[in-house]
Amino acid sequence: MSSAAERDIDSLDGHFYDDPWEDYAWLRRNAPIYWDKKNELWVISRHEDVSHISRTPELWCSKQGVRPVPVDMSLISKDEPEHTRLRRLINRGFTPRMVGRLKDHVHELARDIVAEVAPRGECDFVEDFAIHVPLIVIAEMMGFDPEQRKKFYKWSDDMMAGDGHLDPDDPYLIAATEAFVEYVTYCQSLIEQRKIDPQEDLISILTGASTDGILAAASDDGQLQDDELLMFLALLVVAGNETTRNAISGGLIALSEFPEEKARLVANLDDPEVMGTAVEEILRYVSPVMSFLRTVTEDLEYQGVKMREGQRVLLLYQSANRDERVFEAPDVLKLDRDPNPHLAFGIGPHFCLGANLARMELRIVFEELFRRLPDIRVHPDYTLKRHPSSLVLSISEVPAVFTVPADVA
Amino acid sequence: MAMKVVIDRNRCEANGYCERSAPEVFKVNDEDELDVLQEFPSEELRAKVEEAVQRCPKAAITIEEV
Repeated sequence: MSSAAERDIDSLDGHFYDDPWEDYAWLRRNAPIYWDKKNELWVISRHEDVSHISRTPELWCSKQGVRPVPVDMSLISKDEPEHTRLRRLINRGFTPRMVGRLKDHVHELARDIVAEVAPRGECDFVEDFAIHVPLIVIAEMMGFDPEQRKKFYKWSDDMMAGDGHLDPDDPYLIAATEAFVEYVTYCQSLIEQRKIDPQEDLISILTGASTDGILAAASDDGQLQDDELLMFLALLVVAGNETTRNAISGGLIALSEFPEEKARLVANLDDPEVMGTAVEEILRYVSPVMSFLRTVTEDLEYQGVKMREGQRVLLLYQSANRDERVFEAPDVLKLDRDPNPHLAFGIGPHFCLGANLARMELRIVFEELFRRLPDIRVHPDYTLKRHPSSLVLSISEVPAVFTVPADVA
Repeated sequence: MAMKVVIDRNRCEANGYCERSAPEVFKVNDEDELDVLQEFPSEELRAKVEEAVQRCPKAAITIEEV
């Protein structure tokens, strides 16, 4: 056991997040604002501090990048007024009422996906189940062909896996760049179509904004990376599926760890209150998005720590959501936890635009899953498998088992 | 001194957290807009309004003392 002063934490090592819980607890207790020497950044682990920094963009900004390798990631790497200007282009599509209109459709989608796996008695819960509903929904909202979703799945995963890789010869970075180019090529043909024949989808809205000059176009040297429209589209496909997918996969793992909680959920699928708090607790416990960065805008002192202008801070959402100062028995999944002020969607100006959509998808997906396969659980020999990432949970494989329903046995 | 509830309309995205904290004061209407039911809520609602300020994910609510 290291002493308080000497624990070395590499907060950008994707493998750190394979089993970070003990280190998170140590950080919150001993070094809530911790200097990560290797990566030269402040690591923020308590709920109060993650919340405060997220809500104070004047002192901790986003425009110098929110990931270790500063890339322009559209909306999420902007400050005001640009941030709200871009966000307003699409946020009307994600309000509770607009999301509510998708409910029946999402029930149908979820039932179809459950029906596909039901006769098998086992599945890879990630690839056979968790990926589908979020991918179909975001593809439809954007105006893509949902039948092509396996392509978006691969592109999105490859783009995500590039996060944190600097070396131009790094295979993850090469794959990420290839995925981005393929995705952008796919988008380009749709953009041309939508210029002539706009639809009611996100790609039409954003194409229109680009034509109107609200989104900056590609620079003269033709660098696609500079094109705000394409970055926006890349952000949406990643943010719209990777996150919810991991909440679904992580949710089944969590529920399998707490079978009594799961049994209570399965017995109350028709109770909106039970389902509502359960979704919040799954979000808290799983926290599929693990970190984002901010940059200090001026020399300052916070919680007795002197931060210099230009230094970066890493916000650990999972740790904030296990903070014993805010959550009683934080490592226990308590589906009736209320209030539950978790930060799984972040907080402040960059609060997840898709929060209402994600909540609705999670609720319906678990409802339809447990209605049909009430005893589904992760395989007893399962150990966590994930892609190394410091950004998202990236659960890669979850063998699950269940009793085949009698009518399809 | 009284409390005045001020909404930054540029930030508000009608997530409805405030309505859960202080339903006497906030309501998201059928058009997905936030209605402030009481611009000058009474003192006994202060704790609830302060919770709404704190919980608003977009930090769109402030209390002015007038």
